[in-house]
Amino acid sequence: MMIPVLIGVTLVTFILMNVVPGDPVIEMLGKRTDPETVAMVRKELGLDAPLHIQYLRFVAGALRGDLGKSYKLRQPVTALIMRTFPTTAKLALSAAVVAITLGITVGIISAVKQYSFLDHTTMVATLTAISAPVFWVAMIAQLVFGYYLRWFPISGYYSPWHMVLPAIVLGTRFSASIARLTRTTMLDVIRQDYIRTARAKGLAERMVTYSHALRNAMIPIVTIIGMQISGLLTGSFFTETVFAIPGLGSLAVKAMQQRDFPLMQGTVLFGAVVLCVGILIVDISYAYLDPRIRLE
Amino acid sequence: MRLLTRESKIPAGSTLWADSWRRLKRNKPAVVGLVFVLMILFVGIFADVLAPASPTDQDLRARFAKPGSPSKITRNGTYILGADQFGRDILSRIIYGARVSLTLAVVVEAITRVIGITVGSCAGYYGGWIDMAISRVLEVLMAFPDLLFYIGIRFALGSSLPVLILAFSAFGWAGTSRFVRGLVMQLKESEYVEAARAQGFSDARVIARHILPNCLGPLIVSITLSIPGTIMGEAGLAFLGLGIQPPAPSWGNMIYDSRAYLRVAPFFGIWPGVALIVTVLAFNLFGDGLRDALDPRLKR
Repeated sequence: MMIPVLIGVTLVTFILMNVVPGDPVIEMLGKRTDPETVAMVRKELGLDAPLHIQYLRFVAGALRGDLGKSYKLRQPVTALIMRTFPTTAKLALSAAVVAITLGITVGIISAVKQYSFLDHTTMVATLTAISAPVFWVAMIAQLVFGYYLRWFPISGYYSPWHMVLPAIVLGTRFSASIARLTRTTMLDVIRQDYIRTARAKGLAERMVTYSHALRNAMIPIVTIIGMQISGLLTGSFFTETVFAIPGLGSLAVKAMQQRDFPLMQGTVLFGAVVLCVGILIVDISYAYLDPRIRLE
Repeated sequence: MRLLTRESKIPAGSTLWADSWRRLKRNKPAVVGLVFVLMILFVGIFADVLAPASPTDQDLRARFAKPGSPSKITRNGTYILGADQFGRDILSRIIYGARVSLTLAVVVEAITRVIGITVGSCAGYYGGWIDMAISRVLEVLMAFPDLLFYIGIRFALGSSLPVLILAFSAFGWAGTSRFVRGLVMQLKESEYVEAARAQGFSDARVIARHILPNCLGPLIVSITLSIPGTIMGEAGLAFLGLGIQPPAPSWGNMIYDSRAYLRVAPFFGIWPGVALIVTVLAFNLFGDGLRDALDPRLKR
């Protein structure tokens, strides 16, 4: 599954980069460069070879961890990605922690107190959160909490404290869908016979909710968390842009604004790999949650 | 039990729709959603009549005029929601922006659904190697980081409404295909499909007349729920400066423009965001309600 996706990704990005109008060498050197220099640089970059050779070279390089050299920053793409990725990973992971804790807690409370005022309020709130674009929320949060109230730094990334507001904004956005799904699956599970049995045994309600119901509701919840990984990555791109955090997203945005093809190609491919690995981790965690599912 | 449920669906299609409508009417959030959806459609269609000014008229002396301040360019003489960095009327730009967002969403839906339904029903109906081949392609498409594709295609072809439509359609159909494939695979085993085949109808006719009408409910729901996705997608691209080019108004463009002036004129960024949230929320509420109404078994 991973391999065809990655081949597809490399192929599509490669084709796109070559359809883009404008000569990268001229972009790089400026319009006034004499044709000989242009030809020389083109040869140096391997851009004089036929397209399929260029593609194979790119794939072969990528397999060795060499994604070429950025035209604009004059540095290896791999090094640039490795420098920025930890920041993005920190943001995405802290957001995921916020999303999962908040989402599951809210979902359980809503399910246990179904049709209460609290339940209705949280369901409307979560639907609104799902409907709000993350960059807009980030922008408004920055204005309110950073500029007016001065609770958090406005932008940049100089200390872990700078990461708090972005992580809360991104995490809250994703907690909404987790909360809604947790509520639905919990309601489903609560009506099962084994829950009735657990109650009949005289177990405390807390025990029934957490160790009997929640454990069984976890599979669909983990699935939706897995489906959110892609959104979380895109979401952190937007959040990084708003809060001026120097992560992978900012790098990718810079690459595309400066038409830096190798850098763009590299970030796209790297993003796809991260996505695939994330989905794989989710698949593995199924087996842990439900011993009936065997790893093959 | 199976016989009963099947028979209860036989008396003409109208009962299903009438039933659903009755159930939908009782669901208050869904009705609110529907009313807002209709209002937004109305605003988009009659933007020329409703907007107090042209979306591109400028008055540089009225830059960032606060909501409610007097205006020379609007018909009623005030900037109801304020003015932007060129003194354009924000309300009018939001109204015209609705037209842009809806046009994009509706056209993208139409294209992706036609392709998606065709491909998906072929995969589901024929199965075998056709299904295998199509499914692999779909998996790759669905796992592809689509935002990055939009960015690429936008650079390759520039940015105008048709290019955006192309960009969103290129991947959008995969989801529908997958969805329709599942439904068709399920339905093709049913007796009435077998009966239709036994009568010697062509495959195309069996699919179009006997299988697809039974997929209509879930399809309508998924269309309602995916329209907000496209609207948000456009706003997201615009926010990266890759949306429809100014001066054409779009909500995403307005949010993008407002970023630089957020401290001077917070209302400039707030209004288009509110418009976006209300629209997306309306479609989501209506879509959720519609799903419950069309298939009460799912209702919890």
